[in-house]
Amino acid sequence: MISIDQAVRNYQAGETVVRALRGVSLDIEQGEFISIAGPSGSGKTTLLNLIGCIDALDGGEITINGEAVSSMNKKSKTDFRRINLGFIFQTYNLIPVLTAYENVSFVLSLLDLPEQEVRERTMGLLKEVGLEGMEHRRPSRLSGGQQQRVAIARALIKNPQVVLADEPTANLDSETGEEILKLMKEMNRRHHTTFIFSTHDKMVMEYAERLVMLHDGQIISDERRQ
Amino acid sequence: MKFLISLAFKNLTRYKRRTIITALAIAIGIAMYIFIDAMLMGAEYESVRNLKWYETASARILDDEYWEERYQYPLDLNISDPDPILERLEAEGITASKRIVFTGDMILSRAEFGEDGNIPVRVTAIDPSRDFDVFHFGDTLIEGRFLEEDEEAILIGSWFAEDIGASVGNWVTIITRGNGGFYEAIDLQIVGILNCPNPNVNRTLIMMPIKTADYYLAMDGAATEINIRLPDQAEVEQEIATIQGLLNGNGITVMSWETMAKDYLAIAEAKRGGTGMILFLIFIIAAVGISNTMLMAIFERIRELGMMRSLGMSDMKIRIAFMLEAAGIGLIGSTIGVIIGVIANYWIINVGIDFGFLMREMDIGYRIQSIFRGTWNPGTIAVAFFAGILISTVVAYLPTNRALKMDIPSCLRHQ
Amino acid sequence: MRTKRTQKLLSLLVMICLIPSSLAAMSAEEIIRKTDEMQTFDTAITEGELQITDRFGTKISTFIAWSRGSEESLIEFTSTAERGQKILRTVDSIYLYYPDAQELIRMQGAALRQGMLGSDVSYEDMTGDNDRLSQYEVVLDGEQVIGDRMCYKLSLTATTRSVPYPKETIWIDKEHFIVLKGEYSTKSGRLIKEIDVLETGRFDDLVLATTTRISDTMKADSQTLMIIRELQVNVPIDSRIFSLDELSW
Repeated sequence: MISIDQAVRNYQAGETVVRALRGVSLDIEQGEFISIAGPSGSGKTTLLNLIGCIDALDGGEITINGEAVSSMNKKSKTDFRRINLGFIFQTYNLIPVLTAYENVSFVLSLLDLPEQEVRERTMGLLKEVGLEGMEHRRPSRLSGGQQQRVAIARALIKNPQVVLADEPTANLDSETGEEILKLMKEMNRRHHTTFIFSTHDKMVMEYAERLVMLHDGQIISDERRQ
Repeated sequence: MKFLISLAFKNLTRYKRRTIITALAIAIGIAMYIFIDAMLMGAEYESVRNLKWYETASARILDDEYWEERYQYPLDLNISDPDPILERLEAEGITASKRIVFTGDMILSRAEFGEDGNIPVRVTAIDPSRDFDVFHFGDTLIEGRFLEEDEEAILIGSWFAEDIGASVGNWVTIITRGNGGFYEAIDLQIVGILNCPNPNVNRTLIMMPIKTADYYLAMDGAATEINIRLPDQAEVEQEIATIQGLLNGNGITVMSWETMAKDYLAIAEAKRGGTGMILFLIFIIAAVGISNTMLMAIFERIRELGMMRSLGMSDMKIRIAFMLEAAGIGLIGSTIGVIIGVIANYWIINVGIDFGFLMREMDIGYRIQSIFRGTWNPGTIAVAFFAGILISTVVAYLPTNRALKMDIPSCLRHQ
Repeated sequence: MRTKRTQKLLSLLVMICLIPSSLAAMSAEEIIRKTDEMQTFDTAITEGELQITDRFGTKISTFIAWSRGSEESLIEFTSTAERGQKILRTVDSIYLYYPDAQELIRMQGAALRQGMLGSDVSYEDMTGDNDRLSQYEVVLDGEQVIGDRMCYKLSLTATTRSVPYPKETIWIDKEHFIVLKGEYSTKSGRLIKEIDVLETGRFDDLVLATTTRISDTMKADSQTLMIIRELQVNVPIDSRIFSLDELSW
């Protein structure tokens, strides 16, 4: 349902042009748990940003559920992201002055849902990610792992088709990282949400059901595992 | 929207000290605005009152040509038969009194004042039985007594008395020109000293009975002016039209205090303009403060901004969020400013500032002798309050725009 | 006998008729008229100075004046501080010209009461006196010696309010008909201004006051001396000099 066709992306870095993606083609099915892996500078974040509709292609095309997102204007992209995409960041990017509950629920308030529904869905999902009883804590009173759980809940709360996670465990110790990966996988299974995450960590790659390796802006391997 | 408001207010708590300092800058600006405005409005109000009470009355009847020549104080451009006019005005229930105003030299003798001297003066000859119904000198006597109908006596202002070293009982001579131009010398005894709250009057006031002046100046019953007191709530222009109708020409005209005080009012206008500039500067400073604060707030939250934009929050909503945050600072500042301003107003209105030392030495236009008191001006307080919020809000627009120009990946990478 | 008596009577009549009119006592009006006549020339050019003393000290201003008849004159100040200032008196007005400001001011009404250059001589004093006889009732009070000159003493009482001094007493030199002393008072007799001729001088065959002191009696420490240094009478003067257009050249 995600179709990437000959994606090209170049950056201007001073005098030189960095060719971040050199014609990447990839199809991803609904409900996949897929890892984009590769060394730093291989283009994995760029690919994620392009799928996430927060960056623009220099060549090629990306369609999500048949919609050519790469040719959308800014406003349509924003609307598309609001409804269809969830994001998890390496640095969590929670709003420090909001509680765990508020950090999750505000996504729904952007969709103008009734308060009652917002409440029920948020509380339910926080319980699912294992944060019951911590709804009113602010990020400063949560551990890194707990913060990333809030971020996962925030990404999933609107039932998006795709969740994009850029190095979601890079800031966590390996034990917590594994827990987070387990949680993501469980959410993937339970909600049938497509998870696309980037990493350069071997352990993380182990969890992927499909591993796409990038090198110098090109796919060098694409394997499915059990 | 509810979320945006709550987010904005929660964001204010991130750096409480910065929020408070910025809000205080706005508060000080607003408090100053309220305070200065109250003081100026009070000074203007009191000046206008003292102008009408002691200088111009509400309106004045003059010979048609008198106003043009007023600085010469001509005696020949007079109202030749003022009494029938006064009777007609009285029949209409209008309070009025006649005066003769003339200039001359006051001669001070060595015997009375220790040294010889002379100073140019303006003398106001009044009808002692009626003048204080029009002007408010009735409660200003601080020494001696008021004038009697027909005596060779004067009342003088207390600052004038101080300046010439005069006290009750002293004799002075006024050398002047009678109606027609002949020299006349009038010996007059100071019988009373008035402390007039209008400094311009208190500095120069000399009053004598009109009958005595009439005799010496050969006025044959004529007066140079008839002053009229209208009730405070009267429509001056309308009343003047009525009075002009009563006079029915005859070479005399009636002027409102506003026309007579045109110079004063022009100066007051200019002062308002000047203080307007000061207030504008205060607001500029507050605006720069808040714009700086918002710039800092926005740039340290660039990554959050990236996150929110990724999640599909529209630029408009982000802009609103930051503008609401600035509005919040404005609201805090405005509220504190209004509170401080109102407290300061209580003080300036009930206690006031004594500028007596200044007013004694020079004429700065205000007709206030010493204590400047403010007035309540709810309009200004409301304007200041909302202006504080509005300016803060508007000022946040530009830095927000700058942040929104960055692309989302850059926002997310921002350190 | 009869003839002799007739002769005597006739000769007496002749003698009476032959008595020169000058020996008869002059009336007060005649004295004033004669004085005015003596002081009025067809044309005159005068050079002189004003010494103005007030409580801050003495200031000297020099001037040249051109005059024609009794009603037209131009005074130009020549001393440094006032150089170029002019006062033009025409038949009906007085104008001041200030060269620094290039400003022409017409003096009228109460402004005429101001002292010229801050002196005790007002602009009004310059214009007055022309028709004294129509404004004053004159009485000859007798004769009196002023300095070493025998003078007529005249009392003038104003018959109108439009003159500055309701009462004047003047002493006029019997020989030369110049006013040697004047006292100017209010109606009640309060002395306002005094004029004293301190020196007289002879120009050709004319005798005139050359140093005159004018003092405001109410202002104890002020007086003005008017000194005439040069006088030429009945010399030709271009009549344009008395026109307003020429004032600012």
